[in-house]
Amino acid sequence: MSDGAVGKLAERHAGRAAAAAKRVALQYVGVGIVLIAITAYLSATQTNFATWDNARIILSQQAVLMIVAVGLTFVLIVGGLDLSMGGMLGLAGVITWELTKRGVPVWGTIVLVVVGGFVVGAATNGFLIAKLNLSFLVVTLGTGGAFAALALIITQGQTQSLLSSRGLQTIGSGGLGALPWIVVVSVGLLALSALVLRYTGFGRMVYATGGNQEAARLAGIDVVLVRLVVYGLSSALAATAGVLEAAHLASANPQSGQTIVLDAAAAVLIGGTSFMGGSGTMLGTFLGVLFLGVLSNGLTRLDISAYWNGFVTGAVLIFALLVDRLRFRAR
Amino acid sequence: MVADAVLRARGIAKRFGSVQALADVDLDVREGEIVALAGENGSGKSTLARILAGVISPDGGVIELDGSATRFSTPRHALDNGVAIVTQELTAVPQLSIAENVVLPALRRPTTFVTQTRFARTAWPYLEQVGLDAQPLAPFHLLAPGRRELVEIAKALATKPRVLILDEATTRLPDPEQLFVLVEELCAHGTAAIVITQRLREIRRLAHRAVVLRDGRVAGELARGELDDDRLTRLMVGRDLGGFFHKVRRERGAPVLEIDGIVTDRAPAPVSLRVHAGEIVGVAGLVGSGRSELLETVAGVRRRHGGEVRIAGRSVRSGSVAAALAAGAALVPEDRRLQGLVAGASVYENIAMTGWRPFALRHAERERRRAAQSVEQFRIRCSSVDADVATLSGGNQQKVVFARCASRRPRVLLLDEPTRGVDVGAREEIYRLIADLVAAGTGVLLASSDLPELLGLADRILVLCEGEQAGELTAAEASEERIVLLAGGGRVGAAA
Repeated sequence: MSDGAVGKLAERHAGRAAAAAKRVALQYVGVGIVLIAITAYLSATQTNFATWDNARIILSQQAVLMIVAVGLTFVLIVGGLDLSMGGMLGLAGVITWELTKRGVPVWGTIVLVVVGGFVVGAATNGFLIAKLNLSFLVVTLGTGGAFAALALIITQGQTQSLLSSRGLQTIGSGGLGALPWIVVVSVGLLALSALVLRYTGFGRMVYATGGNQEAARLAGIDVVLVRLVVYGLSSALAATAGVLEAAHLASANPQSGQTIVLDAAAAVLIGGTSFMGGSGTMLGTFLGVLFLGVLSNGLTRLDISAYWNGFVTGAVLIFALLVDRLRFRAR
Repeated sequence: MVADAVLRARGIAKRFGSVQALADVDLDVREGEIVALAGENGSGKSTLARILAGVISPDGGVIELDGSATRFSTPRHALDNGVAIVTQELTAVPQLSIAENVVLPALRRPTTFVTQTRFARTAWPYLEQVGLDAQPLAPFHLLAPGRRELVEIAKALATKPRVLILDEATTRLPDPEQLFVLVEELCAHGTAAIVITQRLREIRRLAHRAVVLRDGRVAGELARGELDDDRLTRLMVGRDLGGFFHKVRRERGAPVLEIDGIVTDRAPAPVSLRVHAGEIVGVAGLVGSGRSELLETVAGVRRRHGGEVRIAGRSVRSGSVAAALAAGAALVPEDRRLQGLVAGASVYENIAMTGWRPFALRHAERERRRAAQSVEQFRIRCSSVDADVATLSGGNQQKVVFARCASRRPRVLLLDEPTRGVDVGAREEIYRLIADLVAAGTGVLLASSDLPELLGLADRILVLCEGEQAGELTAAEASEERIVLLAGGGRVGAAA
């Protein structure tokens, strides 16, 4: 490349930084405004809000949701939806209990459940949706119901104690220094996923497939495989969330995942990921999850009934959608 | 000479539903050769191109690469063998950056480490090559429509193809000459090119050889020295062109459609237009120029932002299909499967549909009877009026849409790409239907990307460029060159 060419490229890059900053700013403007406003208000009015302790509490409370939201972000970017994640989460907790009961060591249990989650998700949701082109809504509604039912069948509907496993309790309640393990794992998985999406061939294939499946296919991308793997990933992440929740609560509740997909979807969509596929970021998902956490934390502090949580979440979700529409109109 | 063909197709056949799109087609391309694939809309050019590039698989036939038989089961397979295609429809991922779209086919392994900067660096020479001066990392969807095609071409070049297939790649380009020079340069270095175009001028300009398809078969082949418009046209159409369009000269009557300064969703500038009874006014423009939007706004499918529409002297409310229909406008939409027909419903229901009212009873027998008359009048080939409309061929489906529109005795007929995906025989019948309606005093507003069709049918042609009225040409003034120039943003005066 000649000197002139390099200069031209450098010039383009300078312009790019500004343009990229603007795009990023626009992308998070919806959730950003609300999150900053709430945080500022709570910090100013509540004495104990802006503390490390409280931040740790919020992150711990959101850890399970964050992992599910990470999985859902992959699925939404690829242009789908996975309603079975809740069922998988409950089932994974129950399987953890079952394996622990049978004396499988902690690490073995975790690997089995997570890998098992991937295989089951890829073989059911992935196969039916990616390979056979069935509707993701119907398929994941079906498999989700089946997973949840299996969890109930295995436990006879009873919440099972996991207090006997020291290893699980270390993970569930212990920490790396001041940071609880569940926070480390959830934020770590989010960061790793962000890197995968942005810096690996697979990540870019996910965006391309979700943005325009036919274009991706014409570019030689195996879109069936990409979608298959994404549904495997979402199941594996749901399973991880299930193990983590079971460890954190020291019990396996077969019904623990019942509403989590809706909350996760709210967080992901609030974070600017498009329901239409092809766009979205893990940073947005992080902000969305954080927002839900700050919201519920704040409501508790303000002595407002927790029942308002869903109302405000719903309103903010629709607000984020409107901002998204305005952004789309503006260009 | 035939021995050193890079790509050789033998006996390619493909059927879509009841339409035989290709039957027993042979094609050879040699190293460094530019072969033009010519033919009318619906002659099977694109189908053949897509088969050669592994986008769809043929029902029969063999593709040989360097003399050994291959079967491209996926685009990946074709790309790996050096066959790249620039398709008629844009196949970019709008949310991704321009650079990433260019390097997408090179994204082979899921585990590769990639960065946007690297994408930009890899894509940059190809963007330079096609003359696209844009931020490589800007999102693709921010690019102006006329320049998007350049990204597609850069994408194909980035795969370093041995066989480059350009399927109507020039239709949206403001300056096709630049692309021609590029293709010639590539071919001088040994690349083989298959160029699909309807523009005879481009075939003459570029091709070493032309293969003409008609109704899914090879109608003939012309060597460079034989490439003149007469020969090409005769092979493409297979008959005299004058009679083909059923052109009738008619006294033009009172204005039936008056458009005064309407602003559509797409257009930044107001558009004004008159269509008189017995007149066909054509609307030309590139993809994204606002042709369909103009028709859909008049038909009430889209809201208009200002301006007035009068149909047969009556002012029509904005954004109301019912009001436009009541005033006497009928739209034959661009995409009959998405907008025109209800698949799964019968032929007669599709014809009777506009007569349905929410609180009125239907008379199925009467609807059947009337539909049967239409089927006869429009020569719609179907097993019965109760047949599922989806089982009909493209041309007959289109005639069902026409029959529905005609059944309301419209004052203005709005035709959006009325013969897209219709075989030659059915096209002629559709032209005859249009002529009959015009003879009965209907005014027609015809949007089409098929320039010979516009030139053959229209009394006047309005050319749109990026939603603005770029000019208006009378039938006598109009030529493909002038339309292309206006549509691409040039001025007629600058043509010479």
